[in-house]
Amino acid sequence: MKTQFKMLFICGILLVGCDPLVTIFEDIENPINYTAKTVTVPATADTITVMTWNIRFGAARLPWFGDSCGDRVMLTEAEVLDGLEKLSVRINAINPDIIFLQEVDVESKRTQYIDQVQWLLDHTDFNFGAYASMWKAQVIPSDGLGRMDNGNAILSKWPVADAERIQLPLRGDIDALTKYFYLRRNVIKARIEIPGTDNVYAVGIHSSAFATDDTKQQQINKYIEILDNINSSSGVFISGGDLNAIPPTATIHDYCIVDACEDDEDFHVNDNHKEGSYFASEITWLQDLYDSYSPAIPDTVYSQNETLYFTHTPDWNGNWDRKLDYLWTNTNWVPGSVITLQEAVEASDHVAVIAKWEVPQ
Amino acid sequence: MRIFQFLLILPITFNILIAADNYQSATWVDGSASIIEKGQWEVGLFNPLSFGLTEMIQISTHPIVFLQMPNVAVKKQWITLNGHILSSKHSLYYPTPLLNLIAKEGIGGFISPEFEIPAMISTINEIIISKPLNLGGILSLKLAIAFSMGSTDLDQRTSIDLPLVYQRLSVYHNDHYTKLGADYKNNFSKKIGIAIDIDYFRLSNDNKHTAFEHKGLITYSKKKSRQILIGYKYISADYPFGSQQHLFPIIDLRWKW
Repeated sequence: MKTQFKMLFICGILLVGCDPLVTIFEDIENPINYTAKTVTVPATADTITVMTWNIRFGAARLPWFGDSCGDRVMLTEAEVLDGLEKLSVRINAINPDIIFLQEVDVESKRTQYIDQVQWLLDHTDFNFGAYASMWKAQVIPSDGLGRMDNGNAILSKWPVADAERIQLPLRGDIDALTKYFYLRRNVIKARIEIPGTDNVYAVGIHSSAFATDDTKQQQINKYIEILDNINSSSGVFISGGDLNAIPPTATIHDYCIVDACEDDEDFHVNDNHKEGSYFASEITWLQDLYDSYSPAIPDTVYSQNETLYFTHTPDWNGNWDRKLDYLWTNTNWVPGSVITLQEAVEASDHVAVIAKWEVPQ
Repeated sequence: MRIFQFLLILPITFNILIAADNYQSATWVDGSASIIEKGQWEVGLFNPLSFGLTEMIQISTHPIVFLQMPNVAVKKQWITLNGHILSSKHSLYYPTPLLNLIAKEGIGGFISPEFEIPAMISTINEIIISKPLNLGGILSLKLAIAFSMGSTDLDQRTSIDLPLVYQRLSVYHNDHYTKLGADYKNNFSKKIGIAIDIDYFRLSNDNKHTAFEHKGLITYSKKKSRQILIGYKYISADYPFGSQQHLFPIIDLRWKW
């Protein structure tokens, strides 16, 4: 009988040890913490450099099928390492203290299972990181994608503490089966242990790209709520990410024709728009953020010459044609310090936004 | 979730409790060195269609996938001595049409449409020795070696990194694999029995890719010609991204005539 109980116990452990087909997250979970191979923590600073970058899972400007009318799905290991190398060269040239990353692969078949968070930690001056999955499944049974683990990360020269993965609302405009295998967008929040401070938070986000209903608005509102909570509890934050939304003063709202692929249906017929390319109906969704907090690039500055601040194009041969990536704080950016790294045309379909932030004393 | 876990644990518990008892030997031959009777057919949801060609030879195929993956297996009984049976089984698979079918855009694409699957075949050659045990039931030991031909141009990125599938397709990515296994079957009444098996796969020469599979089933035969099997399958295996364990429920039906 004792042996039978032992067997039952072992069987129970095995059941617990089994991975689900698709990982579904609680509202708040712990992200995965990372440490660089070598750690050299800097002393405190009066200003720090903050960067946000959607790194497109190290695919650089390759014509990937899912976001750029391409036909590639599985990258080679050499292609991924080359993409990461291009990113690290740009990051090291700027040498930021904190970076918000979007679309990082850590265990995905399409990028040959390279842990890109660890790779970037080991090839830059960052020491610590936290990673929150946005798309995690043993298999995506579509287009040969296979195993997927892609998400948001925060890398920092100082220790990352109290990190949280906060679930954002799921897309409401897709069927149940697609929704089960689809992305689960999140906000990643962590306290950065900069010496002399105890209330500096870093908050990263990547909101919905293709929702055609109000999912993205709900996600942005949740993001604002998270920032408000930090602000109202006397915390200070730096925040960044790819909001997949254009500024309220943007002049072009409709990219349906520009973004259309050869085999796409006709757009603008029967009020039909390309998913992720039509912003007219959502142009005010960032207004509250602009009204409440300090963007690295104020809307008044942006509107003077918006082309200088564009951060994205889905065309792997094209020029940057819209701004989707932002930095925010509830304190102050160093005036004139912002850079939209538009010359980094080789590294991703987004460019980094960088700004210096005054550390509150 | 808990109900699901309970439903999984139930047959495991039942298996353990009844494993010591026995009443008669198994009459279904799969997994053992025995050959089905001449002129007899057997088929199952997850088992091949088998036919007793002679008293010593049976042939089988997986009919559902045959059109997309032509396959055939021949099993020959060589020696019977003091209740011991020695057989060999030789299987041939041509998976190219099936793999090209699932190398597609959209839902159902398990392989990227970037890749063209080359014409390739594999053969699995297995030696099986079965022996009735004094404590009851039949124990079968198996050694299999699989080879592939024509797969040198197959891109490694076409692997399907899922339990059961990855191990079986690894022959095309690594040119060969070896498998050691054991099956135990016992009927403890006219209708109810158990079937337990373990298999160890060595998928590559560097020993970095191995797999262990175990299956436990309760068998119920209301009539001699029909059988229902309920149990579990456990897999602990190495994949390109690391090691994983899985446990699946199994429900199978078999018929013979």
